[in-house]
Amino acid sequence: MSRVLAVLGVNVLTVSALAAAYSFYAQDTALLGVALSVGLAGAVLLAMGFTTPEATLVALTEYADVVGRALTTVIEDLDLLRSKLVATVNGGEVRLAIAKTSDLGDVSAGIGARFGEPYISFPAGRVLEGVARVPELDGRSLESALSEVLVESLGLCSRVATEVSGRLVRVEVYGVSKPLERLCGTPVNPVNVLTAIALARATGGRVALVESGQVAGGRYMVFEVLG
Amino acid sequence: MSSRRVLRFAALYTGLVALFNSTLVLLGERRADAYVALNVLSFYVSYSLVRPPGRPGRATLLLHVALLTVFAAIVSVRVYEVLAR
Repeated sequence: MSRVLAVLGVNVLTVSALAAAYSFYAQDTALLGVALSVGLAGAVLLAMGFTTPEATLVALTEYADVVGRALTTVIEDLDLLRSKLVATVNGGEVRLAIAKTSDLGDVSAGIGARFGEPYISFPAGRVLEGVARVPELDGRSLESALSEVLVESLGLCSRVATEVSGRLVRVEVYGVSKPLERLCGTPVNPVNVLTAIALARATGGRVALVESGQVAGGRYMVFEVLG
Repeated sequence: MSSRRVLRFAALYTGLVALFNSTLVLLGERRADAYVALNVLSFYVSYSLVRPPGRPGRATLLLHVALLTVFAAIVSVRVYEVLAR
């Protein structure tokens, strides 16, 4: 959304409404024509304001697309397409790993192999530090913690639903924002990564994304909470 | 910050609207629909010359439908008036 155009559109619409009201009072059809034309211009500017993404957002989306493609190439090359995304929180720092096993242990950042299996590990820093830690693993408190960050803070989606079954947590996100939805075709995408980090922070430990896909109106992810 | 293309589109469109409106007022045009019809034309001229970036969303498509409907209605009424004489 472009706030400048939206505000301009509202102002132009207001002026045109006043001019149209005066044209009725003055019985002036030429002024009514000008008022209608200006009002139409205001409506167009308002619509453009709501439909045009911020230039920075466009740049970031394109950049994320490029980075996602680069990472996908590496993942394919290492035969890690059917792998797990593991998010670990340690001392406030998040570390992400892509590997076939979720029990990687303490591996160094970069591309490597452990027990003969390749992995990619990289630090994600102190991202999403504001996620509230849940006292116990139950659906309602997880849903509240994830909604606060994914819906309220990041605007990633419009609704979050969670379901806990033992150590497995199914997270469903509905109404994913359009720019992010476009990026969901790659194995490591913003929705999966940010949800994994948020869940790892909420549980205060390590989570592994074991399954993800589409549901009507959104996406689902199944995580295994590893402790 | 809005993208430069969108601002260029807005500047061209509002400039054309101002130009057409003032020309019609100076010519003494009393028909309100003439102003609106030329506004729709200004929109499409600007849109063709400076297409805003990004894929057109549902709101943009609705805007096109609304503008074309208004324009078609105005032209239809004028054609009907000429034929009915």
